[in-house]
Amino acid sequence: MSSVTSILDITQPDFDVEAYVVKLLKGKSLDGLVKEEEEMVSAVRRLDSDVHQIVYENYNKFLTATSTVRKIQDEFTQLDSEMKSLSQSMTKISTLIGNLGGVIGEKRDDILQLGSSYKVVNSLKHIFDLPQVLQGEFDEGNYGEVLRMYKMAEESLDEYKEVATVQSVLEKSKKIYDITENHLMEQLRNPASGTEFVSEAVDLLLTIGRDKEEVQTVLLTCSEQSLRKDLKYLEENYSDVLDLVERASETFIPNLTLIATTHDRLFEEKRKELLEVLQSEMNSLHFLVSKVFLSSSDAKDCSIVVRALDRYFRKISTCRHVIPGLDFLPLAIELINKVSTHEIDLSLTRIKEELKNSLNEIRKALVNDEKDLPGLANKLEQVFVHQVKTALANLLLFTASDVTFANLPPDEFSRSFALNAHERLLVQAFHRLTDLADEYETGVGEIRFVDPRVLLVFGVSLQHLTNKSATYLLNLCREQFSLTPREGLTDITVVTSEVKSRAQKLVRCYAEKTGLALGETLVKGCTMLVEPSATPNSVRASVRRLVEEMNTCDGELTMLLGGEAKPKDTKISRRPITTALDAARDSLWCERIDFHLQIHFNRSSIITAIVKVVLKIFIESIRLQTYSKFGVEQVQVDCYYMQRCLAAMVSDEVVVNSMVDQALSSALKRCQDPVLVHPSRLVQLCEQPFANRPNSQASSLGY
Amino acid sequence: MSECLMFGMDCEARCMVSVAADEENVCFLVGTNNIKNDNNQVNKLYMDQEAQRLMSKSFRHPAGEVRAIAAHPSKANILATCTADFSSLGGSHSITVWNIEEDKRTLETVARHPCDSIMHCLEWESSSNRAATMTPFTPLVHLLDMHDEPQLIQKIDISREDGELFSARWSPHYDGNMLGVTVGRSAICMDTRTANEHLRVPNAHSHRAISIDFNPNLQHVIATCGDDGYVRIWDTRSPTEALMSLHPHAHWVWQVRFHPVHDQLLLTGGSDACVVLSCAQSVSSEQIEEEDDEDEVEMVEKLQDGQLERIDEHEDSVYSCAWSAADPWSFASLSYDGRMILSNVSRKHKYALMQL
Repeated sequence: MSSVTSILDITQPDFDVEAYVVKLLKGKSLDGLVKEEEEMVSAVRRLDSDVHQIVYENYNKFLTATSTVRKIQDEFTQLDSEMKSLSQSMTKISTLIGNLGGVIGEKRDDILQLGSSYKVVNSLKHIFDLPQVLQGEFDEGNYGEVLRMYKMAEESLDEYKEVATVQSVLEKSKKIYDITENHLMEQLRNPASGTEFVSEAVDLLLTIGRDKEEVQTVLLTCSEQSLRKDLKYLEENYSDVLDLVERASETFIPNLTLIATTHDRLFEEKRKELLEVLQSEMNSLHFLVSKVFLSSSDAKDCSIVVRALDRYFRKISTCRHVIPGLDFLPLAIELINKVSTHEIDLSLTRIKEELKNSLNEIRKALVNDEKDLPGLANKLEQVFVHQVKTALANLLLFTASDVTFANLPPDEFSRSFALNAHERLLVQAFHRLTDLADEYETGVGEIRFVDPRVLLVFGVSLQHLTNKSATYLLNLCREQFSLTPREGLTDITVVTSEVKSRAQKLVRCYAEKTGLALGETLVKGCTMLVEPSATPNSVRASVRRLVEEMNTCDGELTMLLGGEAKPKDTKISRRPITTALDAARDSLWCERIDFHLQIHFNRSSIITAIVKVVLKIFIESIRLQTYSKFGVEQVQVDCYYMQRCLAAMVSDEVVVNSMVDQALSSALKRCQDPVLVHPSRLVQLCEQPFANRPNSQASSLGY
Repeated sequence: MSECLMFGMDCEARCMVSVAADEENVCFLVGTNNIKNDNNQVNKLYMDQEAQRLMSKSFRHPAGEVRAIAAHPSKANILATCTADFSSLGGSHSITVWNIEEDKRTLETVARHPCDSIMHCLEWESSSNRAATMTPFTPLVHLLDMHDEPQLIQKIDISREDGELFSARWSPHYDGNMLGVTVGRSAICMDTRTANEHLRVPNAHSHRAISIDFNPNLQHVIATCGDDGYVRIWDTRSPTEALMSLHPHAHWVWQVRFHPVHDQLLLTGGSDACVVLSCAQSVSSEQIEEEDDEDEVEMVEKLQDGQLERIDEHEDSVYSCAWSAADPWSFASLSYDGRMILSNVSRKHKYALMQL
């Protein structure tokens, strides 16, 4: 098959034209043949032109080759002539050398001697240059070289010591050597300059035979001194606690670790002594840092303190790893605990200050006739809540996740801290609040003279606090510090009941003080009415004033505590009007007035307490007097009027009735021949308007 | 609270005094305060040790109502009263010294010193045998020599102070020359030798200072009480600020009395019908002594400052209270309705005081 194709392939050597043509004639149509022919013609043409091109190119190449060959030929001829002159010169030289050999032969020994003398001179020169060389080496800091060269020189020159010049050279060199040695000691004394320098110095000193003990002691004492210097610098230059810690971690602590590593590398076996020194220096640093931490005095700086504490703690814990055996971690943890309680105390003081301030503000506001009592009460409560929350937020910084020591085992820090946050901050904050309430209640110093309404506002805000915020704060704290009641926390109810009792005390105090102040107006008139000249013709002005003031007070309380003002305003109690006989009998059955009843935080309960105090004052001042007939009559009128007006205000009018009766019966007892006013006249006197009271009216009624 | 004994009189009474001369029996004298002349009496109340009862002997007081009563410092049967008789026009007033005739059940007049105006408060001083009394509305203190019969020595005018005089009290120190007076809001200590004001505590109480007493052991400490319901203890060397403020009562406090020995105990009676026994340990003489041997004190439960006991058996204002002269743990109180109550310091407090 292949032979067939090779026959038919035009490019093959055994191409058979006949066969090809036959095959074409056989296989192709006419058109095909024509086409085949055309193709073939064009192929032949193409081949023709290709052959032409190849011929031209080769011709060109041939031409260039010819010219090159010609150039080479020229150069060879030149070379040939030069070679000839060279061989002539060489022959000349060889003859010259032959001549010279004979001349120089006899001087050779001299030259050899000269050479060796030169060598000796050179080495002598070296010896005399030794000081300069040493100096040069010294200047370049190659102390090792200096020492080595000197040692060598010393050894070799030992035998020529008697020669004066050698002596002087040795002395000079010795001087430089000493300087070098001193310098090395110097380097040793500045251990903070770098491990390499120090260890180099130590190595060299040891090689030249200095005592190991001595070198080590020098290194230690110098380390100590340099650390002390750092510390002193620290002590004198810091702006706040963070700055101090930063500076310490930039200078003191790196130096410390540097010294430790250097020393460890050189004197492994002397660790104990090193540790002693480091220990004492760290102690001083710790002392300084603790002092500064514990002297911070503003709770607002808490974040700075925490950051500083965190840095310090980190440094100390890395120190522990870098210098095994130097473990200040327990002390640092102790410091953290101390600082945290210190911050708690600061916050506490701040809370107290703020409370005092806002109480002072309330006092000022009341002096300036501020009417918005609920607003004031609310503000006080808010101040407390806000301050406590701020303090708690500050303390939370101690437990933030980016603070390293927050991740200590809970036994070491976080548990006791959380407990402190609850007990020492929060519970104590409530204690401060109750202490303050006690102060107001006892009336320490000028607080005695405050407006009683301050006590009321204070009491009401305490009451509000127990209702909601106190529990909220306690729970908030428990949540924030993830405390559970199992851990011996003060119970919420204990705290709230403490606060509640203070609220009660304050409101009681308010009622007493207000009652006293109101009662005074009533008492002022009592001395006057001992012996009036005539039968009463109206209710005394001071009694009317008292009722008016009671109404104002009632209004204030309504505003503060809500509830309807004077619910039974118009309803006049139609109690049977007392006669002399009744009064005496009533006094037998008269109820004991209890002044120590619980006061509720509502209008009527507080008003009742005030009314009790006022009426008791009235009774007391009546008992101090002796009355004429008219005096008793006046008391009776006043009593009737008060009974009518006050009974409507209080929660239990039995109290008012019984006390008014007691007042009247007391007046009767203080009179020789009491006569009572007729009930109908009582009603008339009390109902007439205060402004117009014609004097004639009394007589016209026939009294 | 421990057991208390009660006795009721059928007449109003404001004044009571412990019989200082009788050191055997717990014995008090009570004078009634009734404007109707015939009913007034002086009651001698004493404790029957065996029966544990309060016994009474009453003596008619023929000179009107008893406004103040004082027992003779050394004679148990002698007493003095401020009397007021309103039966005549304008009334007649006197200081009368009586002798108790136990058998005849009467009071026999020893001496009578008539006065122009109504008198109030009578305090008999033992060492100089003088008495102080006062006119409440015109602020004058009268000093009387009581040796044989009451003789007016001196009138001290305190009119500089606005307000009425409430009470006087002799200091147990200074040989009976120091008199404490409450007037208006202030408490004043006077040296009777010069009639000069020795000391003034201004604004001791909010509207009126009612009673004053001297610490028996510390001569620079006084206690005052007033209408604001507070008892304040003052250091006379710096009278601007109270040493301690107690708030035992809800209304006027009518009388304050230091315990004659244990000066941390304060007895008060007030118009809230309560008698309160308070403790002022931290400003008492015992506190100062205790500072030396603190370790020992730690062992014993100490009394806390503040209220120890409150007796609310009274039904009306308590105007008078007094420690017994014979039994250091007994005290009596008197309310306006004529009820007298004799009580004891409870065992618990007693032991704490004696540090047993």
